[in-house]
Amino acid sequence: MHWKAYFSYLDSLTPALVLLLILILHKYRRILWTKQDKLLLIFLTVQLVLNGLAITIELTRIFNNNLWLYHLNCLLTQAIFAAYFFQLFQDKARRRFVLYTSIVFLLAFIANILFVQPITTFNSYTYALGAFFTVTYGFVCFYKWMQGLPAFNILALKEFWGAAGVLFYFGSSFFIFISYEYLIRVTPKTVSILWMLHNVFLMIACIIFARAILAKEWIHESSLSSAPPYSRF
Amino acid sequence: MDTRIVIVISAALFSLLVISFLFRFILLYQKKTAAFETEKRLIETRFQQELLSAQLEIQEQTLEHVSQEIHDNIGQTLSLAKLTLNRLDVSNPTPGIDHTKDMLTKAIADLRAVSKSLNTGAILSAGLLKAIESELKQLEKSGAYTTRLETSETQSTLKPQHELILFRIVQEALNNIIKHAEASSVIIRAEFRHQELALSIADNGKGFMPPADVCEGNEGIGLRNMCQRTKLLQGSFCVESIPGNGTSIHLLIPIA
Repeated sequence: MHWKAYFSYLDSLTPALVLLLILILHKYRRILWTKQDKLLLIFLTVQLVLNGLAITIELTRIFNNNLWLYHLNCLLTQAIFAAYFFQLFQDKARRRFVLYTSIVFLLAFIANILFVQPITTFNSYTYALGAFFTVTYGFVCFYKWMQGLPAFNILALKEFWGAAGVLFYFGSSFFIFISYEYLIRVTPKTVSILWMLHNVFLMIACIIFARAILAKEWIHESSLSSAPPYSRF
Repeated sequence: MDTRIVIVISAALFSLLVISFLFRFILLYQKKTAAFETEKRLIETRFQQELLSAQLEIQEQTLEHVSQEIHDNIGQTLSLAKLTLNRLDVSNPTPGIDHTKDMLTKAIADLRAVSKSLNTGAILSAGLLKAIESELKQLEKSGAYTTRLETSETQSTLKPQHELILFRIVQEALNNIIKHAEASSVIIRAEFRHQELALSIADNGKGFMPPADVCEGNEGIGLRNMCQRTKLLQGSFCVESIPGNGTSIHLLIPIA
């Protein structure tokens, strides 16, 4: 098998390995899972299942097209991280922001399928919009932490690694999603390299998410709004 | 250049930008938590000092009250008793009356001395060195000690409140000597240096092994009090003692 093929499988192989590692460690170390951890686990499972299915379809040719899976992946990913940050944010203003942006995304998602990028094409625009919203949530989160100092050692927090993974994956992939349409038109050969890069970013993000799930400290809910610094369970 | 290489470099730069943001965030966060910790410690120290200051103020008020009570009530009663004894018929002296009169005179003098040493106002008006000198004289009167006060030629004035705290430290040290040291000689040195006062109280008693942390340890409440009072003056406190070789207490107090 050509070395490039390994990169194509990274998007389902990494979530599988990370999930396996987490499940093994969970069995032996009795790790406590927070709501955010469960959402990250769902994200990893979604990536494993949908990317695995996309590869299977591509290899077996059961269906003519597997791009509808990417539409579904985009929608589920956005829903998972909207829920992730909705849980993390405790004040009404930021929760409302997540809610409104999610509605905007949903409307844009439907409009994109109906008028711009149908289900048989890759939905780079909605991926870019979703990545933009998620990165914004991440920045809002970091800004609030800088003001509220939720822990003495931020590196020990689950939420820090979760938000760092989000920021890394969506921040880095945003470049790919936004330039996808243009590059495909100008140099169609670049598709494979774009996907390889995306899979590498996803692999790193999955490792960061594993670090988040395996971390032992998490933020007390009230410390995100107005409680004094360092308050947690 | 190959388009694919351009894409890889651009993507790498984009992800590096995100990573550098995360590193910058961590550094800033750690800097802010360090500043917060320092501020927290400062507030705690200030609170402790204010608490100690309030405690000392209450203690001084109590001592002043006791001093007034001794002077106004007990002293007066004893004086009256002496007066009554004086008015007794001298042509028919009862044995022991003269002795009782002597005892009452001594009791009144002692009470006055105690009252004076407790009285904040008296200490403040006399000044630190005079007050210490008076304490040493009282000690010498007992006949068990020889005392000496050595002072530098140049002398500066301290804040009245600081003089009072220093005097209480000296009193505590002398109390410790009387109670535990089994000493025969006490020397107090007060040296006014440039912007600081070096005060030492030394005895030739039996000495002891001082605790590792005089200020925080549970051993030696007297020593801990002296140390905490010194801290209140932003000064340093040190105890030097070897069993069998006497004890020296050294204080360095800034003169602002």
